[in-house]
Amino acid sequence: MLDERFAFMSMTEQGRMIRAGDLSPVKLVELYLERIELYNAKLNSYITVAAESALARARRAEEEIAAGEYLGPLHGIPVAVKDQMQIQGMRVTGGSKVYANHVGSRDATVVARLRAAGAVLMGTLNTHEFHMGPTVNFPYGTPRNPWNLERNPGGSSSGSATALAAGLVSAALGGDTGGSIRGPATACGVVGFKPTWSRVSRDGVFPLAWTLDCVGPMARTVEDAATVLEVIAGRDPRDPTTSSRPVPNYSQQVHDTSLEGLRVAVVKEMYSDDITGPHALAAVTRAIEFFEAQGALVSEVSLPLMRETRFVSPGLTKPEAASYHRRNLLERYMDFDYNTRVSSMVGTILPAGLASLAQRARVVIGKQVLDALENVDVLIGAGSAGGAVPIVDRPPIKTKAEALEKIYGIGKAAGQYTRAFSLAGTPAMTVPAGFDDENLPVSLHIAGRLFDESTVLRVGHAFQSATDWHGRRPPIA
Amino acid sequence: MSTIPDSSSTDLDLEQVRFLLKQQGYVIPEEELVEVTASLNALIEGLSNMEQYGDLQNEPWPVLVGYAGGDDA
Repeated sequence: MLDERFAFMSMTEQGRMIRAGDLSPVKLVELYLERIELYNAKLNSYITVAAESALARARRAEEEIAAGEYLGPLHGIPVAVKDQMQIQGMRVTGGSKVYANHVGSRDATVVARLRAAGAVLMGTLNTHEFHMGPTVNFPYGTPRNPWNLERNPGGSSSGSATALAAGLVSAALGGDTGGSIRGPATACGVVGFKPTWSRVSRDGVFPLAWTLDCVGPMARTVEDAATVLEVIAGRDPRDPTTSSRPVPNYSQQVHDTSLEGLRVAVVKEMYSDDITGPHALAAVTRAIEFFEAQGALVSEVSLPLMRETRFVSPGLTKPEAASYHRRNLLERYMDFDYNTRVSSMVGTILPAGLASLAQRARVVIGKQVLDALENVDVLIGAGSAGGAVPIVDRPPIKTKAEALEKIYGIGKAAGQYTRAFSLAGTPAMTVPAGFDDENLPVSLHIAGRLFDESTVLRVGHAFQSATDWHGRRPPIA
Repeated sequence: MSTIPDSSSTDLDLEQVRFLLKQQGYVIPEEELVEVTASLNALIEGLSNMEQYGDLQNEPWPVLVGYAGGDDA
């Protein structure tokens, strides 16, 4: 059996060793399977583990590479996807009892692209039901944070983040509608990347809200995320909303780490002590110092309506989700999780005038983000208020005041830091940037212009190259 | 009839929400109806307050920024 350090190695480094014949894909898959066996019962990272097919694909990859048929940096690399993306012949549930017996009839485009790149599919990763969150009763086990099992790993791409943090896979895919990649990545100390809306195909992906959903890479390093993004991005005839813009060579561009003259703006609302805790603020302060030392020009900008996303985002997502699930809700209401049921009912009867107003408000908030990016290259701020919050039971909400505080409150929800960029459609990423006093990760959020994933990635990689936050391992692993 | 304790005159009450859901084909458990009512009233209030930002009279974006047929946004 391989030494466990291989489980935490970056995907890029694993790929180099596999190509050179210094690391066996079969041994790597075996290592991850052993670790999944050890830790999955505690973490609930995976919903389905495809041990047999993963080993078979790894054996084939080993033979192909030995025969000189190398497919690229994902060849022989163990990957897993959020249980949201269809996989031919594999159970895909959307994290719901409603699809407990659903088996994919074909691969989602992103899955097909991973396979074509030679990746080894390890299985599907746990998620909040239909990617809404917060799920009250997880049918496939409550996801737990490897940094502290009593803490919430964030959602909805919970399993993707926990599997990476605990060394149960090399790279993963998540889905992000308002922060569902970036939130769990922050809580678990890994990298989460949301591309520009339309950059990556959503074909074969259970939707939450069509006008906001994005699929993106999650990884232990920015370099890994860039490599995965390059594989999955680009026009897809099966998804007419995908952009036909050429896909840049992210995996090469990420190495341009010169920040001289880069224009960085700190978003006031993401660097303000009224909701952001001291450790998250300190992480941003360190990042600012780093960028300035590298010759970047750092300024401050305000997104005045950023906090109103707590209403605008659900004003869009709840009706869209309710519409998508209507047939199943009518026929199998009680098979849905409590939170999904309540959220869907709100979306069903939200007055149309207000749903339309939410669409207009989206434009105003999105324009604030895009205007802020007119004169700078990236916007930065905290990725959350602080370290992961405790896993707690959620009692039913009985009053509007309670709902305003607990569902739509500014509070500590990571969504406060992420949703504005989903509404704007811009690329955005969180990278590990420190720890709080309970040894829980905090992150730096970096957002860029529409379709300028490259700048976001290279800024993140430059930051990561100068820090070691991403190299630490959680106690469980 | 049950009421929501902090409901104001503009809030929907349980019976109104029950009726709206029934119109859409849903009959849901009572405790869920309470939370749906609370959450709906909160969301209506939050979104209604957005109208104070006067420049919402814009057309909703064509959110499909990379829509097929074009090579850019």
